[in-house]
Order: sequence, then structure tokens, then C-alpha cells
Amino acid sequence: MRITHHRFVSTVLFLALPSWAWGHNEINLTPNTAVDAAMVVNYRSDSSVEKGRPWYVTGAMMGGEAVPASEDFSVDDLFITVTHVGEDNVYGLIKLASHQGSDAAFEHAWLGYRLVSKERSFLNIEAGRMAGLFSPANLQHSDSRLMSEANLALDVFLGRQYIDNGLRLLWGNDRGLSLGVETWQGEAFPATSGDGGGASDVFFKYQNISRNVSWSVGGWYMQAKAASRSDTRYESGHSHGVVVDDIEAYWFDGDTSLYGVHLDVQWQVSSRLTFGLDTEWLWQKVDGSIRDETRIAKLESEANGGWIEPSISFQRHTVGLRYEQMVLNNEFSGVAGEALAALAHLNNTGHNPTRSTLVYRYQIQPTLALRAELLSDKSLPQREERWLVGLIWEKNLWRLKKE
Amino acid sequence: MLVKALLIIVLAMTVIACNTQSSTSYNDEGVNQSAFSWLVPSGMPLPVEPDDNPMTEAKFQLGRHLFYDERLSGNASQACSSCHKQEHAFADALATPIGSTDEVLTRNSQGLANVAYNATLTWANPSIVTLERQILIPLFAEDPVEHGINDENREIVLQRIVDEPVYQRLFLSAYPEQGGTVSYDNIIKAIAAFVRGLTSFDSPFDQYQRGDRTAMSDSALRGRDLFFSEQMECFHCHGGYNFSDSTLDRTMAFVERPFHNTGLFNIAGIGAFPEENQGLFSITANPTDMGKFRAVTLRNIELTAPYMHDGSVASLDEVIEFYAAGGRIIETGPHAGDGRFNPFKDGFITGFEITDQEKADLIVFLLSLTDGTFVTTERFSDPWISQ
Amino acid sequence: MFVKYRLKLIVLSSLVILLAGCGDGRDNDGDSSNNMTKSLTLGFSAEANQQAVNCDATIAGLGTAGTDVNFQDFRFFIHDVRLVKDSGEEVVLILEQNQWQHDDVALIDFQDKADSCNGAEKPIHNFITADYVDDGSTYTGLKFTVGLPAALNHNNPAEAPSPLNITSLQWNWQAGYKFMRMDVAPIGGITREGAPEFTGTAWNFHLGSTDCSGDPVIGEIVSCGKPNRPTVSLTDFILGESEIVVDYGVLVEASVLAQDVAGAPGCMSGATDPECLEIFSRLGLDIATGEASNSTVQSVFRFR
Repeated sequence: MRITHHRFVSTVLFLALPSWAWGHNEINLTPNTAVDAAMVVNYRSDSSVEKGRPWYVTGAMMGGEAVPASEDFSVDDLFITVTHVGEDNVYGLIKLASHQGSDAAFEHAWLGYRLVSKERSFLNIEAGRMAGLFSPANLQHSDSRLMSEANLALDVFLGRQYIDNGLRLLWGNDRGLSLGVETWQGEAFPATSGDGGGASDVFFKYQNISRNVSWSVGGWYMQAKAASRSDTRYESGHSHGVVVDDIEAYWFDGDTSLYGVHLDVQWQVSSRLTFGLDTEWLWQKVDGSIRDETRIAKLESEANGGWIEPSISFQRHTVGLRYEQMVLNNEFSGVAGEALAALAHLNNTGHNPTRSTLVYRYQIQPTLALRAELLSDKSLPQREERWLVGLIWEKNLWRLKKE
Repeated sequence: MLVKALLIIVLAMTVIACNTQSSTSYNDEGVNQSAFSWLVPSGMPLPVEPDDNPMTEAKFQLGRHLFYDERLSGNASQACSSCHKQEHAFADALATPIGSTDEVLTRNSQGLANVAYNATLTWANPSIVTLERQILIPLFAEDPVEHGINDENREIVLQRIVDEPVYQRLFLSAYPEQGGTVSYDNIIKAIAAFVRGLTSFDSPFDQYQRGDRTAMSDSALRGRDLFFSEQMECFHCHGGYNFSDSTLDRTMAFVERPFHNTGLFNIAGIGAFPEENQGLFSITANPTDMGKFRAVTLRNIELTAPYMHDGSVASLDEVIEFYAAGGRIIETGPHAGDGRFNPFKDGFITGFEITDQEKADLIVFLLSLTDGTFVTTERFSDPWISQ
Repeated sequence: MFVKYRLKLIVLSSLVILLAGCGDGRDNDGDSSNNMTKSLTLGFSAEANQQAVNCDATIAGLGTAGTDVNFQDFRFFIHDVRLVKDSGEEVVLILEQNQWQHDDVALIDFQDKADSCNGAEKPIHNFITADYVDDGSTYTGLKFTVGLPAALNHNNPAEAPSPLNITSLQWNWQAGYKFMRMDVAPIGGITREGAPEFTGTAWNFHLGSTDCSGDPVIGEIVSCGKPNRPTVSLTDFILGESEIVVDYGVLVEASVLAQDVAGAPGCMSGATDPECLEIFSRLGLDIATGEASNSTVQSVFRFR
């Protein structure tokens, strides 16, 4: 029983965070090499937009890879991750990924080095193409996340997931506190690379694991600069199946500031029952100008959004509910304000996008799980309901541990 | 620990509960302020109003009287309306019009619907960027003579306007701060105000856009999809709310003045157009500008036949055939040549396949751009008749 | 006591020297009473083959084919007129403001009958009157530019002051003015080789800025690719005596006036019009760029 419950807790936690993130936050880096794979296949009754139509949450500029979940069958995620931790305090990770049937691409490719290794604290430096560590939700995909669809606030504010070329300094101690600072090239929404671009962030996280309760809390601040940023989700040659000819292009120049606080609690009531709560809230400020081929206007935005996600796990069953909400405010100055607001889908006159998701997950085996979801989606002005059935497969294909 | 967790939960829920509504606000620096009531649907940007000729109803009405007045020509036989007739959406039904002294012009008379939104005026001239500048040409041109006002007769012509009692009242209303002075500058500004006010946004296409799902037939809708398709590429030069890429409104900060060669001629195989109608080249003398003309609006196109800068294409059917071929072949005569191979032809004119049904649908769509109100409304009609 | 006396002497003589120096300085201050504002009149005459140009004249033997012509129009604008001192320094002429002269632009008009020489008699204007600041130097040269400056070339012609309100000198299709308008009617008409149906009666020379483009947002002309403003620089100038001759015969000496190869009959400043090439080079202009030529200097204007 005990063994089971420990394994169960680790499984749950394993689900909450990818193994590598978990692993290299420990004081001791254990040399090992591992190859992990995961695949998520879903069937959805509907999609938030018609096939071939673009997805705009009115009131926010979007970009990155925030494309709506597909109707019908879809291989939502497919990836292979190779992690290596060497004996010389060097470690690295490569992840090859395909989302919603796209071509496989190197999503992560980075190296890390433990600069300072003390008995009770460490300092790591990591560089390469990697996901921002500032928010735990930024590391999740539909395999590691309870819900299949990405959090709305992340989709809108960070283009689904912030993955960029950058450098990170991470400090941690054995009491569960970690601090980090990251600086980015800007190859990801909401930044741009090159002149006038780039991004950086700072974050902290405190983790506490005791016998019954494990919880973490954290906060972060990010700033991103953009020059001539366009909505790259729908451009010729990279359009996610959407006909782009009648999409009018616009560009944004300016600064985006984001900050967030997050909390995750897992309370193990008994050996079979665990209550969970995961919540994060993000605030965004935008200051810059927006233009199309012939018009320009000044834009200042303030927005916030996030989710609350309580869950209950009983043995192999998990039931969760996620409530998401966003508030989007935009202020235009200049003669072209109205025209540009309409073009860029920023004319939100009172609709707060919200979404509620109810999920049931059943762990068939340690590597295979079944998921069923019911969504009430009011992120667009029309309320939409859809359901999902899918399978999640995760497996460690190979591990070599040096003792 | 749990207390901390609860506190954060409470914080999150407070944020949610206290969240205000999303909103978008605009500080448009008074862009839509105008002393004139434009008949432009809400959401459609307004045309530019020059600082030195702001729009007023009084100027509009004065300009309307002058527009339809034959006395505003050397021999008192020609008005603006002689070549710009309301029933033809202010074009005429001729390939090229004839001036007041019977000289034949070389260019087709353009329709005046929404001409306030033109980035440049006339068929191919990047320097005529205001109506005030354009109106000087028909009034004073010597080659060919249009209205035929010149140094010798300009005072006589002006005197006719001064002597007309109706104008005394109209000029006083339009230019009160000047005491109603009758001058060419005031005449031109008034005509410009009238023409600027000729807006047309009430076609079946517009009604459909505004929510009337019965306004366009299935055939018209199919034609619309063809028009905006990559197959036909029509929208590249004839796109936007005014169906022309040479469009300007007051919300724009940077404007293109595009001109296009569509392959109508290819004289001697070197891309030449007839000498009297070489388009943009006549202004710039840049060889690659040969045969480039402005893409006109397709609103009311049903009524402005014949088509092209020289009126050499008679019907919409022929126009579509011409674009489908990717250019025009002229077999014999001084203008012989295969326009499809004109070296200066625009890159979007590549020809396309089109079935008879598709052509019929496309024509039905183009007919849906006809604004019946525009061509019959009393507001734009000849005021001298009703008097 | 002797020392005291010595000191007083030194102080006194210093004062005297100072005063003398100051006095000298004041005399040498170059005060403006030596500079005077003076008026002058500069005369122009128009001729072709040593004959005066006017509406009644028939001038024979012009151009390479020796064509006989009647004149229909002969007017041009000049601006930025300057006297040149023998030191090379230039003195700007301030034009008297009247119906022929506005700002620093003057209209020189030899057309003595209206309506292309077919109408009633009208006044001509073959001189300019101006003020200048004279410092007693000798003036040996004269400079001016043909046409209107860019700042005036694109203003609203309908409300322009005289002489910019003359309709026949406006060039509306180029949104500007005709800098020179010299129209002749060759006796026997004009033909075009290989085009028997071509009929033309007027061989017209209209000079102006071309390749102009406007910015629709501000509703104004922003630039002209080819300014076409010939500059004239004449030496051997004698103030009060020299008269400027405009020689049409020189202008068209390499042209065939009874023929037109292509483009408008004559030259309308088209950069690809074959008739413009020789005319432009005689005005010292490079037809391709509209700027001063590297190889020729104007030869149409000279002193008598």
C-alpha cells in the first residue's frame, strides 16, 4: 500500500512536471542518460473555429503557436526527449516534437552546467533553445497537463508556450527555494529578435514537500520588446492550414510586460485520495504602436487572465475542473484607431473570454492513460460546447544510470 | 501552509470576481469631425478633407449647381455633367468623350463614385493628388480642349456666373467670410466639395456586408468568392472597401499610389502603348512605367461601360475574357501586338481558367456592386432642372 | 616731483594715443552709409536669326531645314536674378512686386497679341525692375535661373497672384507651371515620316518640371524627378547698358521645325522625346536627369 501510494504520488507529480525539470532542481545531479517519448491522440467533437478559419480572441494581439484545438482525430502531441546528465556537472536536453500533425521540429535543444555546487545550494547556467522556466505551466503539454487544451491565458499572452533561444541562471537551495533570471533572443511571441527586440524575465519559486501536502508557489516578471511583430500563426508558408489571402497583415512595435503568480497544492488525504489545486494568474501591459500597410495608431493595453483548477484523485481516477477567465482592455490613440482595432481583432466591447473544462482521467497503466473532457467555451462571443476522448502514452524508452 | 494556499485561492477568486469588463477605447483626435454629413456607413472611414477646403453643405450645393452648368465653359456648351452623367454613375457611355470645341479626348471618362477616396486623380498621374488640382485640367486644358476656358475668355465666363442670381445666394452661403466672392478658386473648391461628397456605399454587396442576407444571390456570392480567390487575383488591384488599391482615407498615414500595366497593348513587341496613351510613362519618362494606369473602383462598373483607359473594351464579358487570357492580342493595324507578352505587365496578370458558369457568376457579382440609390438620388442630380 | 610729472605725461600721452586709436577705429568701422540701395532695370530682347520675335513676324531659315515660321507664343519665367561682382561675390536682386513680378519670379513676355497671336493686342513685358544693395563694386556678370522655384511651382494656381495666375502658362497635367513657352507655326505645317495622316500646325516648346509626384496624405507635391531649371551665367556685364538677348534661332538650331519624329509635336520636356534632346542641351540641361548638363552650357541667352 505504502509503496503504491508513494509511487502514486510520484506518478502524479511526474504528471505535473516533466522529469528533467524535476531532476535538475535537486541538489545532486545524478549522472544518467534517458530517452523518453510521449504521444497524445485525441478525438474532439468540435473545434472553437471552423476548419481553415483563423482563431482570434477579440481584444488581444495573438501570435506564436496559439492555434485552436482540432476537430476530429488529431495527434495533438508527439515527442521524443533525450536527456543526459554527465559526471562533470554538464547536462543537456534535446526534444523533437510534433503538434497537431505538424512536421517534427527540435523544440528544445539546450545545455546546462552546474557552476557552483555546494552542499546546500547550487547555481546552474543553461543556454540554448528552451522553454521559459518562469511559470511551471509554460513547460506543460497535453500529456503532462491535466487538460488537453493549453491554458487560455498562456495561449493569448505567450503564444501557447514561450520557447526561445536564451540563457538562464538558476539558483536553488535544499529548502525548496529557487530563483532564476533568463534572457532571450526574442524569437518567440510576444517578442521579436534583432534590433529593438529581445526579452528577459526573473522568477522565484518555493516548493515544500511534506508527508501529506506538497505545494509550490511562485511569481515572475517578464518584459519583451517587439519591432514589426506580426501574427506569425497565419503567414504564407506557415499558416496552419488557414487560407491567408484575405487576412490583413498588421505589425506591432512596442513593449510587453507580463507578470504572474502561481500556486500548486497537492493534499494527500489518504493513501488513495488526493485533493489538488492549481492556479495561476497573469497580468499583461502593452505599450506601443500598431500599424498596417497604410495606417498607424498608438496602442496601450492592460489585460489579465488565468485559471483555477481544483482536482480530486482517487486511486487511478482523476477528476478536475478548470475555470479560466480573461479581461482585455485596449486604448487606441490616433485617427486610425478604429480601423486598426477592427483589422487586428482588438475591438472587444465588453466580452470577457471565459472557459470551463471538466476532465476525467483514468490511468490504465503507468504508461497509458485515458482522458475524457467536456468544455464550455466562451472565449469567443458565441458559447460553444465540445467534448473530447483521448489517449495519453508516455514511456521512458531507455535509461542508463551511472552509479 | 494550507492557510497560505487558501489565501492565494481567495486572491485568485477576488481577482476573478472583481474583474471588470473587457473594453476597447479610442481617442481618435477628432478624425470623424466634419461640418458635412457624409452619407458613409458607420465603421467605414471618411475621405480626406483638405485643410484649405473643408466640406460644408453650402459648398456642396454650390458645387452641384456649377457641376451641371454649361456656362462654365468657353463657348457655354459644356458642363462637368456633359461627360459625367448621374445615370452612368457619373461616367458616360462613350469610349472617349468630346470636348466643347469638338476635340476628341484620348481617355475614357471615369465614374465619380467615391472619387473622394482616390489616392491620385485621372488615369495615370502621380502628381494630381487632390480634386482641386484635377478640376483645373478639364476647365483649362489646351490639348485637347475640354471646357475651353483660357486667358482670353476667363473673365467672360466668370461674369456669367456672377450675373446668375441663383449663384449670388449660393456663393454667399458657401463663402460667407468672403462675402460670397465669385472667383475661380471658389468655383473650383465648390465643385471639388460636390464631387467629394459623391459617396456610394449602398449596393447589394454593401447591404449584404451590413447583414441583409437576401441582398446577394447565390450566383453573386459564388462570383464574390471567385473575385477574392487566388485563382483570379482580382482583389490584388481591385480590393478593399472601394475595390481599388489606389485608395486613401483620413485614417491612413502612408499611402501607395499604384499604377498597373494590364497587357492591353504591346506595340512592336517592346511593350509600347499608343503614343497618346502611354500612361504613367508620360509623366515619369521611366521606361518601366509604360502603359501603367490606375486601377479604378469597380463600384457601379455595370454603368460605366466601355472599359479601360481608352474605352477599348466594350463589355464586362470581354473584360473577363481579357484578364483570363492574361493580355490582349491585336492582330493587325498600327497597334498590333500581343499584350500578353508586354514586358511591363503587372505580375498578377497571368491569365486563368474560367468556365462559362464561373464567368456568369463573376459578372453577377460585379453587377451587385451597382448602387441604385447613387444613380437616382435627387441629392446628386441636376438642380437646374427642378428649378 | 619729477616722477609725478613724468607719470602725468605718460598718462596723458596714453590717453591721447587711445583717443587717436579710437578715433581711427571709428573711421574704419565700414559703416553702412557707404552701402546704398539702388534700383535698376534689366532689358531683354527676343530674336531669331537677328530678327525681332513678335506675333506679326515671319522668321525664315530656322533649324537645320531652314524652316520659316510665325510665332504664336514667346514667354518665360526667371527667378533668383543676381549681379556678380568682379570678386565673384553675388548680389541678389530684389524684384519690384507688380503684376509681372511676384516674390523673386519675373515673367518675360514677348507675345504682343493674345490667343496664340490670333487675338487682340496685349502688353508685353521685356524688362525687370529690381532693387539691390550696392557697395560701390564693379559688376561684371549676371546670373539667373529659368522658371519658378520649387517652392512656388506647385501652389494653387487658382488663387495665385499675378503673374502666376495666367492660365496659359500653367501646366496642370504636371501640377506646375510652364517655365518657358515658345510656340511657332511652321509655314507648310509639320509632317511625320512614315505617318501620312499626321497633321500638326504648331511646333511647341514647353519647359517645366516633370516626373513630379504628390503625397496623397498631405495633398501636395513632394518632389519632381526632373527639375528642368536651366541656369544662365553671363559675363562681360555692363550695368545700365547690357541687354539680354534670348535667341530662339540658337535654341532650335539643331531641330527640324517642320517635322516631328515622336511624342508631342515639338518638345514638352519629355525625357524620351527625341526633339527635346538638342533643345535641352542648348539650355545646358541634361534631358535624362533634368539637372545641369556636364557637357554643355546654355547658349540661348547672351548679352547684346
